[in-house]
This record gives sequence, structure tokens and C-alpha cells, in this order.
Amino acid sequence: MDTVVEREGNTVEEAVEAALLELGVDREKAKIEVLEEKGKSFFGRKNSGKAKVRVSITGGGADRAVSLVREIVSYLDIDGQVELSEDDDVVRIDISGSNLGLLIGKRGETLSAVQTIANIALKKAGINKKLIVDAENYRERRAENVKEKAIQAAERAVRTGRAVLLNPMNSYDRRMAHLALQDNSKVYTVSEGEDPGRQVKIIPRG
Amino acid sequence: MKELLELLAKAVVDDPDSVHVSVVEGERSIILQLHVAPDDLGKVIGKQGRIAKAIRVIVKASAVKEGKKAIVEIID
Repeated sequence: MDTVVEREGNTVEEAVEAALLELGVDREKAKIEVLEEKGKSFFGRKNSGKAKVRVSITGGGADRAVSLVREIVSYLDIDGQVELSEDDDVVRIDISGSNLGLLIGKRGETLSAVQTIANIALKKAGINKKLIVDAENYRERRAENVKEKAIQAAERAVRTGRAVLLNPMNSYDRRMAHLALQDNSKVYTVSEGEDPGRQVKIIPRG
Repeated sequence: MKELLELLAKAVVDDPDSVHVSVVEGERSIILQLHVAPDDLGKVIGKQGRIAKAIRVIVKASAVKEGKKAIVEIID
């Protein structure tokens, strides 16, 4: 999918129409530059008698990622709302509804997969922002849950004087576990093993 | 399930027109063969198979609701 096209036409309008059609976006989501206009010469160049424009997709490109997520959700037979919010650094796609378990998957596996694919669609639309796809605040709830488990495991490690291994988790969740214990002076944490079986190990000090 | 796989594959490749999926359906499992342009093979597989894995996970989720096991094969 291209994000920038140049088109010629008999008039500027005609060229813009053709370019928008090719990009598949509405005018309000595109940036239009006139390169050559009929009857005018640019930089002393001879005009071909045709108008030439360059049209590029602007911020609205995130809509492509949203409509992709929306389609995935409907293929999974989930009755959910898909909403976009965007700031300078982050594009968030939030899915709300009931019975989102299938969409979230085991330990958020399916949700992460949707994020991976939507992220590619976003980058192809020319948007280099971080993408977060979330369902009913699953990511926050999951992070809290992981932190809690890490803290409990640390108490056990200190009490027994033995290292405790947490269940295998993805890199994001492991990071949450490490962060939860970084200020705990009684234990230190490492990750060991290979994905998808990589685990956080909590080791008592001294 | 076929349409879902096509949607996912088209979202990641450069040549969506070359994406097509053929289906071999068994009683308890369904095999989906994904064909893409040779130049797009890397796009659907991704680094360390990350994209292929994501595609499989989503297709499997949709197979669950049909009570079947889905197998996605990537063919160039």
C-alpha cells in the first residue's frame, strides 16, 4: 500500500481525484501538493499543459489499522466496539464489549497477535507511532496481576531462602515482574530459558 | 476462516492480489494453505516467524468457535 502518489490530469481537480482514488482515502485525510498547474510555469520549466499533484496520506492512516481490527473482531463473531485514540507518540485501539475472552486468548496471546498484525498495517500506512491494542483494559489488569504474583513469589523466596521461578511469560509481562521487584533489597531477578518458555527467576540475596 | 486468513495476509504483504487461500477440510481439522507472491514470503513469516505465529494464533481463535483444529500452511 503506497502512502504517496503523484498523478497528472487535465485539471488540478482531476489529478487530485485520481490520486485519492488510488490511495483509497478521503480528501480530509490527505495532504495535497500542486506540482504543476496548467498555464503556469514552475521554476522556469515548460509546462506540459497538464496539472500534476502529489497526494500523501496524513494522520488518518490509523483508520486502516482500526478497520482491520474491526474486521478481525467481526470474523471472531464478537460483538464489540472498536475505538481509536491517538496522540503524538501513541496510537491506541480499544475494544470493548462482552465475551472478549476469545479475542484476548490465553495470557493475552490472541490480543498480542492482533496488535502485531495491526502494527504492520499502521507502519505501512506511514505512521511510525507505537501501537497498543487493548480489550477492556486487559493490559493494565494483566500488569497488576503479574506484579502481585511477583511480589508474592518474592516473599516466598525470602521465607524459604530458595529461588522461585514464575510461570513462562512474554517479554512485556516479564518486564512488569522485574519492575515490581527492582526496589526490593531482599531479592534480585533474572530471566532464563528461551521463548516461549522464558521465565523470571526470583533469587533471595545473601 | 478462509476470509479471515486472506484479510490478515493481505494486511502484511506488498502484493495483496497474489494472496489466495485453499482449504482442505477434514472432519475435525481444517488445513488452510496460504499462497503469497515469492517476494512476500518473508513478510508473512517475519523475524523468527513472529508474523506467521500471530496469523496462526488469530486463525486458531476463529477455529475454536467452529469446534475445529486449524492448521495454516504457508506456501510460496
